[in-house]
Amino acid sequence: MASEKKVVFLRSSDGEAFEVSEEVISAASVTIKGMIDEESPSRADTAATTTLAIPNVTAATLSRVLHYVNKHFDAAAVVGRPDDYIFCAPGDEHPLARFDDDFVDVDNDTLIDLVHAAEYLHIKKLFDLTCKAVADKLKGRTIDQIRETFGIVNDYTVEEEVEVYRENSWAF
Amino acid sequence: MKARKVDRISSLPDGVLGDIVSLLPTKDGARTQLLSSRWRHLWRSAPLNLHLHDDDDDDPLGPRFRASEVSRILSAHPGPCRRFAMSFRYASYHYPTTAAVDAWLRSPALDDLQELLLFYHYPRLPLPPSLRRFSSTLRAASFGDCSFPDGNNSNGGGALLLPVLESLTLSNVSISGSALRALLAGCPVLQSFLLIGTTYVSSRLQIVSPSLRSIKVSSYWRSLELVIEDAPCLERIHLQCKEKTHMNISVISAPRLAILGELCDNTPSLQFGTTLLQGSTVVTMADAVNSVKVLSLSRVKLCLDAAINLLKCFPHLEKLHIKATSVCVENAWYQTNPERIGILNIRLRKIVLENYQGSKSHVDFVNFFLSNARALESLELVVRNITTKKWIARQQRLLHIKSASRDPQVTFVSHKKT
Repeated sequence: MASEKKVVFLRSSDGEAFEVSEEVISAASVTIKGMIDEESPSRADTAATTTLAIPNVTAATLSRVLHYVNKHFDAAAVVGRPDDYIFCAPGDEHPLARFDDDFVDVDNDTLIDLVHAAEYLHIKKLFDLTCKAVADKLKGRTIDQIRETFGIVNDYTVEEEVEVYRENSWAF
Repeated sequence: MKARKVDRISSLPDGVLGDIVSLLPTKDGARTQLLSSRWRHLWRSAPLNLHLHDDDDDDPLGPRFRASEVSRILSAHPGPCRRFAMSFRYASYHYPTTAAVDAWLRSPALDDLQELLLFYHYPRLPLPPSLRRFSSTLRAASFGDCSFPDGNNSNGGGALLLPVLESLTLSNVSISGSALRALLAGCPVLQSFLLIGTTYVSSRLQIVSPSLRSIKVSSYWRSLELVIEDAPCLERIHLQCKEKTHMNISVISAPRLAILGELCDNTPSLQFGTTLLQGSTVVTMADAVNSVKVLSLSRVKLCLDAAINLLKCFPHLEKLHIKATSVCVENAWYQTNPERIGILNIRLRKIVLENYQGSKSHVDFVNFFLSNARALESLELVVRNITTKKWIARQQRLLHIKSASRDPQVTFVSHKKT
């Protein structure tokens, strides 16, 4: 019999529940796979669906994360193995390259929330993508520009600042 | 008064901020120490990304280094080093000597190096002997404008052994057939091999690799002869050549080859056993190549005859990607002359046609597939940005959408950026 696709519900820190295929989320998130594996003996013979609490992630961020996960990890939605650039036609860009570019084209706070979520949920590809996007926002900027962009407060004393500067004068 | 922005980035854990810092070019990374005391120790505790380009294509304002600075960085950072990338493409006063490069590579900060990029400039120098100390840790290596000595007379004894190397790029290198053979034999888990530019060789190049999955050859003006002798895991061959490049590729054994491209109108010349292709034209068709599932054609005139011959040559093709030129050929013959098609079972599931212009020739070409490719699921027509809705509506009337195949999805996509 063609088994129905199992789903799980994820409850965000602010109480909203999101439905996602168990297979897809297990392939994406090491953390959630661990939670599901822990749950599974107790629910083996019940029809009830599982709801997992994700206390560190808000609904707004969780919904973005699941959008990414469904795009990247749902094998049924893409031909071939989507993870692998090797399976794109030669000369073709990665089919998800544009999706990824748009996905991280967000304001700083949203991006930092995504980094936190990717780290907590242990979704390596999303973590790498979002860290790269943060790095791109730091790249080629002056110290003052970075402080201004991210609201970083300079808590060095003048003496300390001079010392750090002197140690790394080759970089300026 | 303006409300102060909340500093969210500094609340990320040390490990995460360290990962971010080590993605930055070396100077940008080191400068983050000055942001605030929270950032002070991060650069030193995160893996070093030593990125020394004096000609950085990605970033014209990228780091510019003097050779003398490198030793300073290597002593300022305790390691480990994630990536050591050095590209000095043009002769300049701060061009390092081979001895200097060798000394940097011996620095303790570089122990267990996993990723190395070393691009010299003319004249081609041999690789520094200290490279051998990374032989058990290197996973990705790119060498540019270097020379590879012939197998058994290299200094330091014998060919390089890189037992965990997964990705290898050779750009404008001088290497002989036997040296390449020895190099590949020393990389037992190599997955991807990139050969770029003009490669100076004394004989034809042979590929023998038990692990290789992907090979890309990009050649500009010289001639290149490559024989895929034995590559049991090879899945993808990507060829890029200019019109005047004489690129001869002969595939002797690659039973898992699934993805092939880019074939132009006349180049490269490709041989599978006794089957011979000159660019996108099948010259001699003996045995079909059954393993290929994805084929891409580049800068070709949209010619139905040539496409049908390719489908006979690669009968299990599932995806066809075409970048067409504007040259028009007569493609309507199949309506009046269907017997000319011969026996053909089209298994295509997806077609992408770039530079679709909607001319009669292009419409006839597409209509052939809409009425004969029964498994077709999607047809993507990439058109110029200036296309109007009215033009698309007219094209949709001209194209026999919803005919033979169950329900192919036909989409018009405007030209991609860049």
